[in-house]
Amino acid sequence: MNNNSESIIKCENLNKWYGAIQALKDVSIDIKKGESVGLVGDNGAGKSTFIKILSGVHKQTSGNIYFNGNLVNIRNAKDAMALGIETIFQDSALAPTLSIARNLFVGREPTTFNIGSFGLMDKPKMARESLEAIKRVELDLRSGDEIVENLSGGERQGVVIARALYFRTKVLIMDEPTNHLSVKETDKVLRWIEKLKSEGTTCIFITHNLHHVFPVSDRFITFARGEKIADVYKKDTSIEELTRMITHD
Amino acid sequence: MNFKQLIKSIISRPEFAALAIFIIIAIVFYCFNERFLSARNLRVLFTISPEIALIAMGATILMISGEFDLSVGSVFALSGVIMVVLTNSGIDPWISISISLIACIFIGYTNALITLKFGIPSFIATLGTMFMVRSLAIVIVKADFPPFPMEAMELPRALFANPIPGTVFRMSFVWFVLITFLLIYYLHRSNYGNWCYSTGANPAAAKAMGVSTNNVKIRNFILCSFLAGLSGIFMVLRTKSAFPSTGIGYELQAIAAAVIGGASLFGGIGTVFGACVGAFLLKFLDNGLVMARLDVNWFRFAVGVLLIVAVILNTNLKRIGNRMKN
Repeated sequence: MNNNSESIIKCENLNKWYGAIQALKDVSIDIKKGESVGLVGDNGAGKSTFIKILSGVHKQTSGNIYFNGNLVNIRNAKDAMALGIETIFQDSALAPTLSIARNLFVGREPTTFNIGSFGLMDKPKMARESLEAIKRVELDLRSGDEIVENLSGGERQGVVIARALYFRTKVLIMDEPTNHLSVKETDKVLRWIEKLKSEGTTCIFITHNLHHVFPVSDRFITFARGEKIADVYKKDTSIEELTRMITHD
Repeated sequence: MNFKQLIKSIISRPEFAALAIFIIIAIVFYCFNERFLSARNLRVLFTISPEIALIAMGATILMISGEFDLSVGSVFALSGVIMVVLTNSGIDPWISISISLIACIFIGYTNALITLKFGIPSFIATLGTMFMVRSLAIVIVKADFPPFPMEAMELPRALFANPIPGTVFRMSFVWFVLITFLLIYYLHRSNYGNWCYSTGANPAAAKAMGVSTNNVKIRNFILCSFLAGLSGIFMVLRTKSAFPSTGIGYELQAIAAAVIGGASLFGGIGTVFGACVGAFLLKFLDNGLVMARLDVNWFRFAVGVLLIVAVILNTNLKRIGNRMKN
């Protein structure tokens, strides 16, 4: 990735206090369009706090966030989604008892007959488009009516990524995208991430498994004790070096 | 869709077990006593069943979004009491009914507020309001039975309670059908319904997708209370008496009906139709025991057995359905 491409998310001096504990210290990060960035660091290093601020779960105590060059105020998940930032938290991306179609469109159902925010779901459209969406990620499923509970872990990640593709998410934040997956399924998920990248989606991962995301990432940002301690391009680093940073910060 | 897929989709439906039991029970009771399905007895069944079905539907929708309401039995009593006492004091019966329903909405909102603001389980919050609301109902009538304002209530009775000549139905049944359709649209067809399911099944996922899970729950608490109150009004108009002690135990019957009808205690699963089947099943069982000249004191025992059998059936049918995958 070249350094002059346009920035999509730019954070300046983000600070986050939880009571007397400072979870984020003066973090400034500039993420470019179409980049895929791995956030690495030990537990409690601040990477989760950082993505929670981007996704609207928490609000920063101080500091500014620019999206596409404009100063933005992300108050909740809706605000983040309106900008095109979508976050997949570990184990909490889908409702297990619902069908793929319903999960795909939760909160953004295509509706007819609207009164305020109330509307009747356009079920034929949901069935059609959900099938199309899962076909795009080459999931071997017959229909969008399949209940998510009956899918494997990899298939579930596939549905989530299909959703991001469908809604043309600009920034997809993934929390441990390959956790609990088999080797084969991990490969599949990484291929989907490649696909997202090829469609221009900026990807941000949180990960413990450097080996999984190393091939699909362009850049790594290392956190320790709430601070950004390194920000390097893949070509300038190695898995060994990153591991050393995380463990001997 | 081939035959196997059809079978799979039918037995995987949450209300399938309840519907199957319902049909079996109806046949068994009919064999015991032919009059079980006589016009006269159907009239009884279609009078009492919708009242509990209204409450059960509210309870089911609330359960789907992940919360309980134990105060519905008390609200059921309070709404009728308020209506009668206000009308007796000279207030227009329609205004009395409106005030009574607004009070129910307020109770539902209070339930939601206590549960969500303080982050305590709705089971406890509504257990508390169950006692409080029951007490209010008794205090309002000063622990006495208020006389029923027969004259003033003539029109409300004609609209909500009187039998429809030439049929086995009362007016309350018409309203029940209408409300059922509205609820089916709300829960199964609308985006709000989709938010109910996702809120109950995985609140974190729903929130991450921008669904306000609190608003979903507030709406459903209010809906549940409102339906309980409406049901109480139907009952008082029909029986021409407002006892403050009526409806004790309805909260558990409503939850039983919801669960028999396929709703999950953990949220995210259930249907409006299932709630109706569950409620009708309970009332058919009650009535059938009488008609079969069995000791009615076994009713609770039968409900217990039914509840357990239905849930076991449900769980296993779902498993079989999943195994039939393609």
